Amino acid sequence: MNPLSTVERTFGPENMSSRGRKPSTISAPNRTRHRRPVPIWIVGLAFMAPALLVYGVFLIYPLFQSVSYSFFDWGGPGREATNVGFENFARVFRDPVFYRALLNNAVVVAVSIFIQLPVGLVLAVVITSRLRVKRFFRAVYFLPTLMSTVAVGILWGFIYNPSYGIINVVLRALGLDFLAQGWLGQSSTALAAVMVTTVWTYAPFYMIIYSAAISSLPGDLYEAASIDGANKLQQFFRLTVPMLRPTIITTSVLALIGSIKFFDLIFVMTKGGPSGSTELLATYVFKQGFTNQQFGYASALAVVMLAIALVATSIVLVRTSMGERTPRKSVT
Amino acid sequence: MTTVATVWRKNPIIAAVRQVPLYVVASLIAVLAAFPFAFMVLASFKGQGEFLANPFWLPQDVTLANFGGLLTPQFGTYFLNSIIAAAVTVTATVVLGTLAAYPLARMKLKLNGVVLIIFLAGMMVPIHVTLLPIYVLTQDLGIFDSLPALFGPLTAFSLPITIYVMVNFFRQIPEAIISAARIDGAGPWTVFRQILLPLSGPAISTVAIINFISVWNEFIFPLILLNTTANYTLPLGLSDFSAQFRIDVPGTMAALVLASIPTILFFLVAQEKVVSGLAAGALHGE
Amino acid sequence: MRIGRMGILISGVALAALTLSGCAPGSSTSNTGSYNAEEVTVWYLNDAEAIVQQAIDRFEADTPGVTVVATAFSNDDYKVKRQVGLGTEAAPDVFTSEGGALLAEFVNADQIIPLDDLAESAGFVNSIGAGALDSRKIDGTLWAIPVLSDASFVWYSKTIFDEVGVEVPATWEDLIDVIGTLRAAGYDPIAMANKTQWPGSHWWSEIVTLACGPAFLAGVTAGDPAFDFNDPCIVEAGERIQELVDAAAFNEGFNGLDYDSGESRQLFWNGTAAMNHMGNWLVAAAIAEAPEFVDQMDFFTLPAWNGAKGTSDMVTGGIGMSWSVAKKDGDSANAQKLVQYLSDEKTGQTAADNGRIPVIAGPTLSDPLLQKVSETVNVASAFQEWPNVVLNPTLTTVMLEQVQALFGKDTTPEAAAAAMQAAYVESSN
Repeated sequence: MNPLSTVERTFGPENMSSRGRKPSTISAPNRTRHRRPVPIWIVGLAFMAPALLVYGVFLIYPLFQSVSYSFFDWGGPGREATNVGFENFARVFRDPVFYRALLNNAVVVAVSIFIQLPVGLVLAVVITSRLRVKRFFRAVYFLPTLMSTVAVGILWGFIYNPSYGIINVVLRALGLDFLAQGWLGQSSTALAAVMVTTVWTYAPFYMIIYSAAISSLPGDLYEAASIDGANKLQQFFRLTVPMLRPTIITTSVLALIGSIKFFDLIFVMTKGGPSGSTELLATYVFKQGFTNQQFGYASALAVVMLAIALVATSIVLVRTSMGERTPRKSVT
Repeated sequence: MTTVATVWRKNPIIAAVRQVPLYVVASLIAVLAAFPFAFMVLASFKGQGEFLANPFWLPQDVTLANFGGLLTPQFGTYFLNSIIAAAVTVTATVVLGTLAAYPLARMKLKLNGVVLIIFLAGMMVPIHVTLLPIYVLTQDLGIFDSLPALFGPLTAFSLPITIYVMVNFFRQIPEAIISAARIDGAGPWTVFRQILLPLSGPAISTVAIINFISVWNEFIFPLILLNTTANYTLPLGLSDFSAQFRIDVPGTMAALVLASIPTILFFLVAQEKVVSGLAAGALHGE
Repeated sequence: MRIGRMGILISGVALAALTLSGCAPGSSTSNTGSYNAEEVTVWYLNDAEAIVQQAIDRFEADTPGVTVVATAFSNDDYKVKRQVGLGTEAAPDVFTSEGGALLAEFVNADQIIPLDDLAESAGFVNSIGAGALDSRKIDGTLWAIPVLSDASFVWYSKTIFDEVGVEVPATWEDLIDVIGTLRAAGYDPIAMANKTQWPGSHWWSEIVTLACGPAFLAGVTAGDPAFDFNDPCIVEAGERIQELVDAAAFNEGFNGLDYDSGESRQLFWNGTAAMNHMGNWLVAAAIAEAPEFVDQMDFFTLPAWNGAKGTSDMVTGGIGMSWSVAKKDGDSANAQKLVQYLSDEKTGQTAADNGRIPVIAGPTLSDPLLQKVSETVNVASAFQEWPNVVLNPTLTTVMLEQVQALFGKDTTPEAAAAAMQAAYVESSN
């Protein structure tokens, strides 16, 4: 049987215009008309068209334009652009700031996956435990993710303020004066400080995903484990974590992508300083483009950044799907 | 069989006591999560002098002056602009995304693989790559330095996650329901409208909320595409404010408080939907 | 099937990329549109609102039928928007710049019009100092009308100095001693907020001028190929900066504090810090934010050390707020007339009343502190412009980064000099 023709017959033209009409219960063959049926792929395209249009104009087209900019040396609109071929890309790989930013991004990725996700998981476990007033705690925990990054950046800027920020004031009150320092102003502590803020801001997002996942895990396994004498900790590591593997993979991919693109918080809190200690790929692209007016070079950097994201994500997906043989779950 | 173990588990007093560490941990975490927020709220009720003397604890003289100073037409304009931008973008994203998700999830088209990859790859594209071209594009379209300049780019960048969630959700709808409808003669539009849409409540609310939060908090596009302060959205206005407020910390805090209210309200009202939607989206995609 | 689809996708992408790579980004010069007969758009920095507004009001009163649409920007925002905006239709008719290399870039990109005629007809050639006007000329043509002059000094709190018993330092060595005494007495000797990097660069330019002599940095501005940042005097300047840091001269965490949100001057107002190195707009800020402090303020110029090539009476600063007219189709008469109002004596007087120093003759400076500033500038043996407004953008960025690193002790004076030299060479090509 040619599936296409079955579909064609079913989605005949008279059914395309059946908006609002109750589907007839007469059996199929009696309703065949003589017009040619619309192929399914046109129907599909029709549904996808508006989205594809907006997406194409505002994302795909600018993306290609950017790629083309990367082959030029260009100072901005209204200025001459000189074609330099692949020179911008060569420059990227000679640029020490690029490597510094790459390193910093790697740190962000590591913190994201190895600190943020576990914190989110712990929060999720707390939320899904036998706690009363769960809703209250969940709302409180989620507060950080709800605030705008600009607000978070400004707020934590105050918290880290060397003179009147909470952290230093508390440290001094505890007699730990020597620990109080200019957190955001020293290249040794700036990145760590921003990372703390990042975990604070984004862990709750993962908490929500994990808590939903945990809630959908079958409870009988846990019952059986308790009866067998396993304590909560053992249950967590031997049951929960393995069963959450697909979710962990999804969140890891999300965290990976987010870390490579990371911009807003750094921009507001440190602008990539001091001394490039918090410079990330995205902030460097912005700096080269909008501060230095080197739009060609900035575009080349952005293209490299995109390539890195694509490669990294593919690697993660390929390696994890190699170990996965679970078929798609579907709720029946 | 009553054993020590069962008593341990079932005695109500012991059961309550066993909960204590859990509550302690939970509350500790809550403090960590909320202390910056508390700091922000408390500071917004203090006068500048009092803030410098007493930055963290409860204000001695509660004052509403900071809020009063903010309720200027300008702040209201920022708010309104953000609301308009969010409303239009979220609606557009949800409509376009849901429409597109239907064929991607349920029709067997050769096109699907490619289109899906194109949409999902969009999640990896850093916005800065497109900033300057969009800057020029909005000028060519004549919408630069006005709110409509934001609609296109924000919608485009919100589509990937929307489509991801909706496709996962649509895939999860049992084939049986749809086949039954088809046999009854329903065409694709009818299937979409009468069957998929009504079932999609939770997914759509999730997508709406996720997009609302991210659009509301969007900073970089408005920064580049808007010049006149009258057109600024809230985060941009905040950034501007904090530069203007200079050393007035309580004033800035009050602004931050006001700016956070909409997303928080939204979440409080729609908590359940967000959670179940995020679950539906993120879990069933493997 | 999979490979086929992927293959199509990849070749499609490659094709598109190749086609587009042939397209140069838009650079047609008449992209800026034309002047509007009924409306003049103005862009400027948001620390000058009072000064600009009165000029706008007078212009509108005298020119019925024409309205002015003004947009004020914050510092960092402005630099980005102005550069990108000038080449497009969003370009303003009239705008400010801080001069130097930036002006040269606008001229090279053919984005502004000459203002010699305006200067003649408005009498500016007589009323505005030759030095200021010359700084806005390139190859003899005037491209912007200057309005304000600024210079940076070391401001200090007379109250704290008296209390601790220190005197205004006459030499650099004295300054280090003063710093030590103040620190021992529990004060932050010098307040600084260097997150945005330009405050540090102001220190650097003054110290370089002391170390290398006033004519030195002119070589960079002129693009002299023989100029070398690796010169020992520049390395010495870096060492002097680190000498200050080692003497614990600054408040904690200064590289993360933001001047615009007042994080350094607050320390100065509330008596935590004894000194503050800043441009004379600090007086304007004091008047606005801490009026009771103004009487306690005084200043001195950065003193030279034994063996320095420069002298203590040299001043670094800049010509702030210079107005240019963008090049557009049509008649620029209204735009030029607005520039005239924005640069005339009444504007100068408003500036003086607001704590700034006008370059035009005529206005009276009522504030004694400002008078002293004006005199100091007038008798200065040399006036060095701040590098972050005279160097080209790429070199400026590297200079700012390196100076911030010097202050943060993240690099050595030699390495910083080498990095600046590398950037200089690369950007001169």
